[in-house]
Amino acid sequence: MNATTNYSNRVVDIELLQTVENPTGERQVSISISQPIARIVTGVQKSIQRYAAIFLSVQDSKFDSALGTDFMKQMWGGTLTTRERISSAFAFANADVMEIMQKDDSASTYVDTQPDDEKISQVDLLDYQIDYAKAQLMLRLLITTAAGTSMEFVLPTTAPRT
Amino acid sequence: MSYDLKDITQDDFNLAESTLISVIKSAYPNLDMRKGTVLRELLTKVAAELWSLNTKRTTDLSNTYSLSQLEAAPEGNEEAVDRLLSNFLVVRKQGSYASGQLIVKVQYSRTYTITTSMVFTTLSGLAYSPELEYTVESNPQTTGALTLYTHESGTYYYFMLPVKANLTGIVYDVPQGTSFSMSSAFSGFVTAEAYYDFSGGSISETASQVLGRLPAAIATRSLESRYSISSRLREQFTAIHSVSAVGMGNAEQLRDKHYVFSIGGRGDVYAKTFMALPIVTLRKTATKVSEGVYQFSLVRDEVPGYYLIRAITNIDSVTNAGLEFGTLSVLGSYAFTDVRSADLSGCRHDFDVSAGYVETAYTRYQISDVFVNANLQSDTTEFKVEIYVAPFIKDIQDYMDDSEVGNLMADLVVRCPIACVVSAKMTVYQPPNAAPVASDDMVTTVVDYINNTTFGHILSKSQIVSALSDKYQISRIDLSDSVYGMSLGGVMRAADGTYITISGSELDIASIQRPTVLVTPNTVVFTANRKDIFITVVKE
Repeated sequence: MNATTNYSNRVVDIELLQTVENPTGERQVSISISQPIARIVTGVQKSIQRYAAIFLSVQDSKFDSALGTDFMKQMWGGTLTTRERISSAFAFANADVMEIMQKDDSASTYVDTQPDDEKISQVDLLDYQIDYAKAQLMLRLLITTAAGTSMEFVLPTTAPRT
Repeated sequence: MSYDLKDITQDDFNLAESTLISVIKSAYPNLDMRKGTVLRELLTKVAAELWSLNTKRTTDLSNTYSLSQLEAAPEGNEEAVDRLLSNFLVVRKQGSYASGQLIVKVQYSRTYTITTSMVFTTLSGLAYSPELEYTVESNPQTTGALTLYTHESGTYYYFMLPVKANLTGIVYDVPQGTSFSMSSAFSGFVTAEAYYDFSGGSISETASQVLGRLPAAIATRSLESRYSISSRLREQFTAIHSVSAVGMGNAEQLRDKHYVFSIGGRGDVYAKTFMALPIVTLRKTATKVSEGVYQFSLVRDEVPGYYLIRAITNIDSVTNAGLEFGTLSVLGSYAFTDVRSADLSGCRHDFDVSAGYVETAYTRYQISDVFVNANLQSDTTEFKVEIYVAPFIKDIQDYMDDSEVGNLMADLVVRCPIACVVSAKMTVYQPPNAAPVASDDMVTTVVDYINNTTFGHILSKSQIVSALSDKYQISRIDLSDSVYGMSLGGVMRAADGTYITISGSELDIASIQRPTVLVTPNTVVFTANRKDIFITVVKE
């Protein structure tokens, strides 16, 4: 979040994952450094965690079958075996997430007052890493907002071990 | 009924979620409740699921808390009805099993063992089994063994086997002559068929019906008032469908008129212990009393309170059982005269039999001498005698006579109700696109409806039409009395042995009542057999 932006009177959400204080490069995060009190988020961070929550949700859940993507299912099914398949799966999932967010936003009263730095205009897959030993796939994404700001974040996913 | 999340519908959830979001945002307008947010997905959605589950449980509880709400929509809430009625010690009656006898033809003259695991099945898939194990021998040595008979042609052997339906329902009341097969036949088995009409099958009491008898069920359980007599007897005898009690001052109560003034303390209880009036078949040995006339007797408690003899035929005959208006005998029966009297030995009830046996009619004290017109050669012969008998008349009388149970100040006698056997014929017209319906299914619907009526009912053509149109697609039924229209009629045997018929658009017993022979709306019930209802289905 930009230190010079005025975030007063923003519509807020609760932090999905705790922010790492003063991050310096890549760093192992463990439960021991978590804080007991959750914090609220707004701005681009709120949009990022909303994007991540929808991206990682599996479609066909009860009571909201349209929410989520097929990306996790494909990963668990072991079909993401090549770079091209990962790119293709991400493209479809990304399109689903953007559509869900835009549809929900247009039905919300918040649509007229939502600041530009919370409106995601584009998400690009920059890179990915596969750790077969840990059954972990990490997607490095670049989110660009309607305000013109960009932010990189890593979307970690883990396949269940058999 | 217990609910979990899988019972919650999308509409239930949507309502709960939108309500929660509305409440939260009205209090905290700066919270982001859009899809994908933590507040929505991890908090509100879970809360909405639990809220809708609790709402469903609370709604169910409030519906079952109120009898009036259950009465408005009892079907589909059978479990709730049963729970509520258990508070009053009332139990919904389960359906009953049809029973009857099979004539089983076998190839060899030897001993057969019949087990309860044997299954006899009709062509339509109705299954029956023996209730007991039997040994079949040509010269039975053991108690309870069945006799193996040789057919007069000498070409096969046969025995009579009592069986009971494997499931409840009136559809198991198959007619005489119905063929049965065995998937795992015993050695020597040739064929089997219904020796006479099966009877006793009925469907379970519906939630509406049991709620309808609740006033009687929760009444004081003593043999004093109409409600309480009905309540006490129905609690004790679950086979009872309905009860009518006539007492002091009623026109059909003859026993309180033995003196100048009517006196109290006399009551006649008519117990409808059946849906369709069951048929009992006896083998009776008759003695020739004159040329062409044979006689046998029905002694007290042999067929307690029997209504009438339906047919007398040769032992192994299969009669064509149709209804003849005016006599109630079946085609193919020998002509006979049924002379009734009473055996009052040891009876403490007040009966006046000086001018006839009307007062003992249809009670357990009734006996009869039956004279059969049959041009046979032998001095004695065996007949197959089919009798309409209401079950449990003796048992109910014994119960009411029990010094621990009975009313100390009353003389209560149990009778079989006067059964008005209904016959109907109609043509049912269906739209051309209606789902095909077998006429047998419609017959079952009509028979079920008639057999579910009770004392005092006025049976009409429009009621039967209504029962059919509730279940099937019908465009019209001609209700006129023309040859192509609908005919409805009934015949009953009065207490003095005369037959009374009634017919028309409406069968109202009050219009033909004769209290002096016990025929009034308080004593008569309508009953129907499948073979007396004729329905032709036409697509137009």
